[in-house]
Amino acid sequence: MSSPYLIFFLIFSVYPILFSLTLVFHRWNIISPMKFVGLENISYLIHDPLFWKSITNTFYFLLIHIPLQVVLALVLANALNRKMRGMTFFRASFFLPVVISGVVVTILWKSLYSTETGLLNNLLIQLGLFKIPWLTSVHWAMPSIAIMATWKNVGLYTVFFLAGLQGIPRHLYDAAELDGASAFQQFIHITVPILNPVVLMVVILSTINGFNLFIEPYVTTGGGPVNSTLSVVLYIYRQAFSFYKMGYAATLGFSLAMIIFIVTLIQKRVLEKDM
Amino acid sequence: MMFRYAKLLKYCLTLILVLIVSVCSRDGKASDIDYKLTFWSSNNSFEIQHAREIVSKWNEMHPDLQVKYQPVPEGRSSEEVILAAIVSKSTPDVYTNIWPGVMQQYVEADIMVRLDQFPDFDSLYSTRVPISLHDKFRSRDGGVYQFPWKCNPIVIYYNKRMFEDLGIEVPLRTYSEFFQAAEKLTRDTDDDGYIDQWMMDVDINTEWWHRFFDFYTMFIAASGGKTFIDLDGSIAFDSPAGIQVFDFLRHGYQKGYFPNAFFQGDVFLQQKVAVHISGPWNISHLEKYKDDNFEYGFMAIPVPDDYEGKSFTYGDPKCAGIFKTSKNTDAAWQFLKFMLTEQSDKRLLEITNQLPIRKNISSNDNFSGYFKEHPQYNFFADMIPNIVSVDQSIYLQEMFDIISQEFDAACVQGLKSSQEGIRYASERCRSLVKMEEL
Repeated sequence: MSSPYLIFFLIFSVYPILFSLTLVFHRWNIISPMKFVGLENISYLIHDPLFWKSITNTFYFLLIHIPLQVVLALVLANALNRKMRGMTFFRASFFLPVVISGVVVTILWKSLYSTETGLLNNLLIQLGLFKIPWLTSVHWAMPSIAIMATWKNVGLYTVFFLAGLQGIPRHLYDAAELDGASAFQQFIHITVPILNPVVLMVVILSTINGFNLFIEPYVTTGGGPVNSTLSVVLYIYRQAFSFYKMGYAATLGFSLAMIIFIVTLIQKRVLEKDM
Repeated sequence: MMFRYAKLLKYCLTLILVLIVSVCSRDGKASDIDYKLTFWSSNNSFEIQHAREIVSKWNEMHPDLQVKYQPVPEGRSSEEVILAAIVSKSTPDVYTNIWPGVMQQYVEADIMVRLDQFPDFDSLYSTRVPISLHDKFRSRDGGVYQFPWKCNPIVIYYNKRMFEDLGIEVPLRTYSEFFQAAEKLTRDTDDDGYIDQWMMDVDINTEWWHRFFDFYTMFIAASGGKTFIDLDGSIAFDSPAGIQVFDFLRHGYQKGYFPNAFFQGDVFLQQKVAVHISGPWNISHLEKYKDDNFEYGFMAIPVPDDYEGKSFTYGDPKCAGIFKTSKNTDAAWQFLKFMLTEQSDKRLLEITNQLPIRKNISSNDNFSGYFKEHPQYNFFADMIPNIVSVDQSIYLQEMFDIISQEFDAACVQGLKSSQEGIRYASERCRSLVKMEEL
């Protein structure tokens, strides 16, 4: 019974992984024969400043994106976890960006962020403030991308939190209320601890998704300015499909997989300890 | 259950057998009789129209050797599609949209037919191709694997009304003249405290190919027609010309003559910039979308103040070639020659408004009618003898990427000097050239 899945697994998982692993030790530009280079790709990776830059950039992105996403998703879920008119509309509205194509969302945000003609800077000028170089400054570009990515994904995690909130028994809040706990105390001492498994899942999923940051910098900045938004996946893409360095791209890919594995493991240990 | 799997297996095996037999029969005798040349062209609608016309004429004249035409399949770029075709060994016999920047990869992978092996190649090449371009399409092994077919010389478009309103005379030949005009043309037109009209848009995107329309073209003009790698393997842009171009771009951004911003749409057409670097393809776009009061003219790429000599530019050439998957290379060569006749070139010009790479095209009687009817293309046609292609290097894209990173750091962001940017880029490019020599 499991043979169809086994065939699928062998063709689409095992074979690509083994082929990529082979590529790590080869130089290959797709059209010429592969050339065995031993550990050359790994040695190049260790000494490649752009690889380390892309790693630093990705961590910087995660540092802004994950807390922003978790807090925002939790706040939105709380706001949406009550009975009020038009609730379905609001819930659908917050979820809408999740199902819209990432490229479309990014093009829209690129237009909003435009330094000279964008809506955001026009608003700032109307308010008597100054223009912000959202995507053209080394300091602003990555935070701008993190905000954009948060807007796109927060709906999904809001749904997770909403499901978690609806699973909390009502009587716990009633008892706390009788004991004189304020709304904030109830949130901190009841909601947050019970939602911890959901927080763990959201953090892990956000981390994995965050490490795969690609569409946003690819469409908006191309990795600039001065490589400040060059993510690891964008760097892999360039090496593979602009320069056809398949061996080096595979080496980068394996390194990224290992980093995601280690980071996720650490997150799991730390967050589970707190539960 | 077992019976159902056995039946399924039987069907699969039969299907595989049928496929194997049909694939094998392609190499058999029967297929030679039915053999048709396949021809791919670029997939823009005008070139499709041109290719269909040529193929239909050929097929009428050669009933025994028919050509099957199809535009190159859709993809992110035609180079990627061709790459996929190479890997799957499904390349056409003849293809006419080869960018010379990928040719060295193709040559090293041994997938192209050497064209100078054909006995009548030399006469055709010397008759058609301007003498100044003869060696520009030769590969590193000395062979010619691509026949220069058409080009799009890159020039400066300028907004006539903006220039006339401020009494600025054209052409702006030197960097000093360019910046004097920039000082007047870069303005805050609505007095809100922010500049809203700039001299020129230079794309700040660091994707490697954007540098064709700023640094590369300007370096060709400033260096008297050099490309990135000199004949002796040294890096040509590590020179006063390279630094002068970086200085020009850096000064433009620092003074605010070039906007450090991303825009939506065509800023030249929206009259937010006074000049724009582009090729002849932009004419049909402007004609289609411009306002009635929008007039434009052309200038050569500006050069450093101390430059003396001809106006060179990047030609954005496309070439024709024959892939080794062809089973009848002689017939493919005959068809390729048919694509390169004066009559075919004339139709290319008339249908696509793209310039064939051909000697004295603007003074040739066969083409003069077209240039009388479309005088705006004269400027581009006159530039053909002075166009420059790209280096034959497998690391070309990577070199452009390196330059692009340094352009961003030194010129756009001003984080380092022009000398530092050029020096660092040349060091990295030098190591790539060394790798290629290994």
